[in-house]
Amino acid sequence: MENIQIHERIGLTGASSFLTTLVLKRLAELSTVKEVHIFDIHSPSVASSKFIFHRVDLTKDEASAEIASTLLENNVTAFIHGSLFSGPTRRKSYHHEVESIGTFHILNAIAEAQIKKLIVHSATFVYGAHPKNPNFIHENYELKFQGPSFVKTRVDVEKQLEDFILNYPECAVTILRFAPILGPNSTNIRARYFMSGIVPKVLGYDPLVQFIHEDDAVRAQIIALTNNIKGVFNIVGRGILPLSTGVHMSGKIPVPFFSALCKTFFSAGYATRIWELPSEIVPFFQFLCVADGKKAETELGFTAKYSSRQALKSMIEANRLRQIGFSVPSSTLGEDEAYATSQGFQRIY
Amino acid sequence: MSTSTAHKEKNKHLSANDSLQNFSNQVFNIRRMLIEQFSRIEKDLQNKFTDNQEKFATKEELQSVIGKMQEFRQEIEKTFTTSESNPLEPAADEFFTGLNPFNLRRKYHEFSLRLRSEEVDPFGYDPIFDKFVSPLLNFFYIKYWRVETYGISNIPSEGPALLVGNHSGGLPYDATMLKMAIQREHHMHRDLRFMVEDFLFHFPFLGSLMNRFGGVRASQDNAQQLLENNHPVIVFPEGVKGLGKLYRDKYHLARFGRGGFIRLCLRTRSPLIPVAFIGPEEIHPMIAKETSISRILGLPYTPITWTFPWLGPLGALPLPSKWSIHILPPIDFTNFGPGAEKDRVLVYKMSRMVKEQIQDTIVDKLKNRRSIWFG
Repeated sequence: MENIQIHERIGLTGASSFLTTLVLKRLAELSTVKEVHIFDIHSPSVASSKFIFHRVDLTKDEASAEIASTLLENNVTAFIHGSLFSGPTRRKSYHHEVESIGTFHILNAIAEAQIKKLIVHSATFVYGAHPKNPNFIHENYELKFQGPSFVKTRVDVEKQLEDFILNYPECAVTILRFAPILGPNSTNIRARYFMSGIVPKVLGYDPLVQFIHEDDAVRAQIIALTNNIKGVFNIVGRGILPLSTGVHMSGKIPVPFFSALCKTFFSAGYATRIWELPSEIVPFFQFLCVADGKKAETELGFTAKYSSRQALKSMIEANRLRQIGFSVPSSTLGEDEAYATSQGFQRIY
Repeated sequence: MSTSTAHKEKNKHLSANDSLQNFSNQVFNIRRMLIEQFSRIEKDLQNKFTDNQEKFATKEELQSVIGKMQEFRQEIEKTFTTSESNPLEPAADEFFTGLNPFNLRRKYHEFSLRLRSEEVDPFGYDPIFDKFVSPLLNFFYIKYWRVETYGISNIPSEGPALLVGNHSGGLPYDATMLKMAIQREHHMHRDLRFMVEDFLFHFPFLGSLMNRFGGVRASQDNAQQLLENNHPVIVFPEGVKGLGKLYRDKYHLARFGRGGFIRLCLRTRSPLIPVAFIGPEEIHPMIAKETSISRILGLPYTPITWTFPWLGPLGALPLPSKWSIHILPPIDFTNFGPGAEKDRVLVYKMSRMVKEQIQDTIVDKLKNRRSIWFG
């Protein structure tokens, strides 16, 4: 137990993202945490006396200096970088600015303030969905700068982090690559896929998919914070299931599209707001992108409580309840609030 | 004789009823033992029957003995397995009973969920789907290609095994038939996993179909993980070069890669079993490769056979050649020290040896073959 570390003052970005909100809830309960400094443009939806909010725009040039000075002033020892998106968004250039430039500023600030611990919320989609992927992708799999723009942006972020790890070995960097997070409250792109009445799919492709339950994701994040272990970890749920099994579980009508026409159809539907699935996500419905969670199990000591199937099931069940008016309390509405509210999500303050 | 042993076993169970765990273990062990013994006797008799070596009994008498044995076997299977019938027939009945436009969607989802397993294997293998397609594959195995398998006992009854074979025939028909052979004739009925070329995963249907059926994308990582999970795995070191063989090059093994399969064995210490397939090289007699138009379409080449582009999709049917699969004795890798996989000379020499062994077996068996279609 010599690995256990106590961080009293923590810095954090991306307070309104889905995972970070859940993490904030847990941090508010943890007695070892005294102060949480939040750097964001919107104040967090979770309230606690521990939280100190600093309005910082990560896309502006002053961000580095502002964050660094606050971190130095308050003796912050650990930092959670959570302002990374869970999938493609409608504002592409803003998406790139927040992820890529935001990471640049945060790394600058951490280097200046000499923070000892950095945790980054990444995702397994950095590996990209490609027919040449192995069935289980290890953490040391080489990231390729290819595919849709949200993957490229994330690869860029990971490259920056790699560079940072090389040049600043005194900072313990933990990169958590989460599988798509599903749970009663999730509104990310994979959850939206199972929410709409008609589920578009690619004719003849049925990849294996993998999810992680939101509770497991939060637990992994807290374990990473309290243990002094650095490295890259895939945080994934137990087991896998074919995508079509998921569709049949949700009980929605699958509509197959020819793979050649898929991109056109998906982008047309996205532009006209018929569905919330951009064409960039299509390869993830065609090819494998499954990560191996063994390293997290052996080194980090994290084992998922829920299997991929259970995570999906909990999401589908909560969704059915929501449709008939039983609102499942959710502290967060994710990245697209308008969409989440239209689906019956209610924010509980 | 056999009934009395079965009764004894049953009595034993009744007395050892105190711990459930113990009991179920015992049942499992006894079941395995009985099945092993039965299949051994059965196979022995079958061999004697086909060779007609046994002079003390007539063919009819032997036939009746085999019939009796099969009856006993079924009885034992029935007593020791839980009531697990074919999942499809009752599902199909249920689908049509009480069907109306209002529950159509629910019935559809329930029916589709019944055709697949709760959770697939980490590599995508679905046992229920396997059961679903096995009638068709049985037809191919027994009636269409009339596969004869020799040396099935060379495959170990447990633990990993790397099978290496000669490749041909466009789609992995050869791997599928070997899988059927092991499932039908091996005494432990093991499930073989096979490596599928990358390019199949680019096409719709084929990739996911192969995946549910036990195929895994060909890569070192995947093969190693499968071997570490104690699966028998077949690899085709010829790869796409083997699939793209012209008819005039049939049974001439193409280059054997860079010895990746030897390195795999050295790393995982699993035995290597060479396999020679006779017959699959003639199912798609490719006389030429068309490249210029298929380049434009983004394909490496289009095969041209006697039938293929001319008869349309009908021409893509494989021809009914007579197959035989020869499984050779395993090569042991447990004696090599750590780091042996880094020895280039060793890897190269072992790879050459395996290739020559397969090639020699093929030549040897082709010597005795009179006809492509009737063996």
